[in-house]
Amino acid sequence: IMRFTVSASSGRARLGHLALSGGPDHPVAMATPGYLIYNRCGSDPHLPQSPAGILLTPLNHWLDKLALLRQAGNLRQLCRLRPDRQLLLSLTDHLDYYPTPGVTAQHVGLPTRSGKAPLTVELQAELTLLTSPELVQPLADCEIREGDGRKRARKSVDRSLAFYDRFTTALEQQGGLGGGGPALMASWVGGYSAEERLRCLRELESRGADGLVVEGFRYYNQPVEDFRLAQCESVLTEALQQQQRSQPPRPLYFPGLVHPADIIRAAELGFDLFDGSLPALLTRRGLAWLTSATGGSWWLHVGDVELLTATDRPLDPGCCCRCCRQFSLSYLAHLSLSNEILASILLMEHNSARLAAFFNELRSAIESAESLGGLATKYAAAVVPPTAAVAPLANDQARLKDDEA
Amino acid sequence: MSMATSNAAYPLKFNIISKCGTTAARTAKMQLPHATVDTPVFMPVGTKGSLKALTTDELSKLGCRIMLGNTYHLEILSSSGGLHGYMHWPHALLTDSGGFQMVSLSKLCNIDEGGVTFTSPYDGTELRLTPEESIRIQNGIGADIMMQLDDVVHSSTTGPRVKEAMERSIRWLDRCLAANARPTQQCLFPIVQGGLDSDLRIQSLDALASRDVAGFAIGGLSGGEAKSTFWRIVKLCTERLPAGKPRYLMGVGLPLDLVVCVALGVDMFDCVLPTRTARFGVALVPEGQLQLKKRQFETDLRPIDDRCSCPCCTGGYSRAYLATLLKEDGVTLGCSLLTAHNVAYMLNLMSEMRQSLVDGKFSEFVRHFFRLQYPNPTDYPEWAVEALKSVGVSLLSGEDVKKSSCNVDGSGDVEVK
Repeated sequence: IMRFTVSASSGRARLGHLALSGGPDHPVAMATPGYLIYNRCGSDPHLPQSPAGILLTPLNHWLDKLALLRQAGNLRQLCRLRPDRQLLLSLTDHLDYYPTPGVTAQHVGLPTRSGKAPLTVELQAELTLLTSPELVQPLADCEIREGDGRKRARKSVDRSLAFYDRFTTALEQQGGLGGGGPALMASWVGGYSAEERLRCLRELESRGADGLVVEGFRYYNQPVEDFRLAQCESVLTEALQQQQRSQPPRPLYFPGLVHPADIIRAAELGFDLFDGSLPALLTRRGLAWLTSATGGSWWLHVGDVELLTATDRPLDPGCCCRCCRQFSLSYLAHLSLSNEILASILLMEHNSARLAAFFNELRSAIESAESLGGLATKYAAAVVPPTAAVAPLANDQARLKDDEA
Repeated sequence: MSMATSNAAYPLKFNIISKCGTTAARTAKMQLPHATVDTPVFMPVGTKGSLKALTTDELSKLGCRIMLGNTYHLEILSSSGGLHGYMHWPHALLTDSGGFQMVSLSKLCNIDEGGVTFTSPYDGTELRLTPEESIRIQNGIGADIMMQLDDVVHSSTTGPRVKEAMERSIRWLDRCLAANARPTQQCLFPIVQGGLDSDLRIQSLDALASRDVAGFAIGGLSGGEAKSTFWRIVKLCTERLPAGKPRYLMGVGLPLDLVVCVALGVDMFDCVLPTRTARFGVALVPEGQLQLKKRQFETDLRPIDDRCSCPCCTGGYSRAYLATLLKEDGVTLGCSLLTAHNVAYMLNLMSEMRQSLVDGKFSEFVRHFFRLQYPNPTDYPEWAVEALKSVGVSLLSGEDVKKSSCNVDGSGDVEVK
């Protein structure tokens, strides 16, 4: 069901092609390095639809909606997903929820809106059949706290391997594996122990995992924009060298990297897939990602009174998205200052287009065998600020309560 | 004070196509600079230059050809080619004078003969709005139809203030008409005032009807007054206003209000209902309303209304899934879909009324509407029953009856005009 081929490489960075057969009429192919489409409960935040691709579908969004999911019997139909959308059924939304403590030998606690909910092997197998994803991330012990040592790292590897084995068995028994079943994206855990990371990799390779998802680096209470690749890169070095030699190549997915320079660096290390959550993260903070840095900054805070006079130009002259083609920067500023929902919608369109352009740029650089160092330097200043630093667009729920005349 | 030149060509042509043989309802084509609009018409409200979670493309696709727009950044629009370009809305626009919003939103407000002084709800500075300034701003916005600045009084106000406001509004109308710098591109509607007092209303009506204007608005009637008085005032106004010009009832209303007031002779309406209720997860359907966030819809996999042709219902989005989206933080899709559905519902209601007028079946449509909304006839709101009876429709007997005329205070059988 999944075919991953590498067409070119530059150093350890590689250009790849991920093909998923979503049935005979809707094959999906994705160029890598690429990104999964961030969404919540089947919807891109703020957008009615987005380009074709692989929808990142974290289970933690659905654990408090099991009655509905079971009633509907089919997640794709429930969410009215278009046929050209493929799914990666993952564990936790990396943008909003931190991996929270709560793993036993029997279950993994996932965060939901109504508190922690347990995910067991049996439940995940049932939900996999209800969802029919092309890719699934079997449950794993992804928990990490600052100060956790080798012992904890070993336990996370052992538990995750046990979950992996039991999940594949459960899926087989329920008829969910084999020719038509999902490809398995195994969680690559092992904390900050290089030895455990290597051990985990070897064990997953021997089990024939179709792909790998890097987990267990971001501390459970660490905000997403605080997490940098430099925090964990050295732990992975040896294991990545081993990974590079393995055949056939398997796609490597590193979720939770939001800073463009980190994405570039991770691509340089050989990673292929990233979560496309940056547009949502920027949009909820009222930030637009510009085509070129202006005044030293890549981001423009659109809810700025000074921008109301910008009636003669779009948000970003270098961008062809609908927001930049149809509206002036003044209008966008006015909408966001007025707390209008349309501000988020237009900003999200722009930021989504910008992310797509960024990945095009990344792939072009690899293809032309340019050193990615130059690209990393270009985007070094594109650092997502913490929430407190920027006044966000009003939280949508708060906005919905705002009763106007 | 000079009046508008009586030979000025209006940028509005109102051609009545069909009149109901029983009630005062009629359907017409209203030609405006940016669109031809079929009446009776419901105008969605995009107060701050956008229609809550719906883009102008989506609104246009639903068949909307005129909407209410307004904005606080008025100076900017004069230099950027008006609100049409700013919002990317190619069809017709109607703007309010800014008076009502400012008065209702600001904390302090002083009215004198010159104009209104208030604190801006936007950034707290003190602003002065005069009739001339309101028209200057509305000329900059460029809407097809502008509203006069009137001295707004809440419908619950009684006493000499009501008369003062009504008379001042007439003087302000003349100042607005004189100040219109674009009379061949933008027309101006006066607003009938006088509170709930029929004598004051008649004074206002007579004064306004003698001005050379393209249409009329009826104001001061969306503030929670008793419905039994509401409909009598509406009827008083529609009976006295020129038949060949459009009548716009401001701030109205619920589907029920629309049906009754069309029967009374109103042509144009506006209300935040469809967009506001969408934000609270309420869907409009022929049978009433669905509160989607309630438990009963948690696993309801039906579309909001399988008879509806809006993108939400034809797209197969279920009530349960919409409820899920509405409760999810940081997701606007639920709000967008529900807004589209509610606006489509209102536009479709008007479309059905227009068609029934063309087919000569308006009374039947009215009865059918009530049967859907109120399965039990004893639940029919009394005011609606009376109002329709006064224009010849008996909801309860199922047959049209002789029209009657009623005074605002409820005393009946004054000779029919």
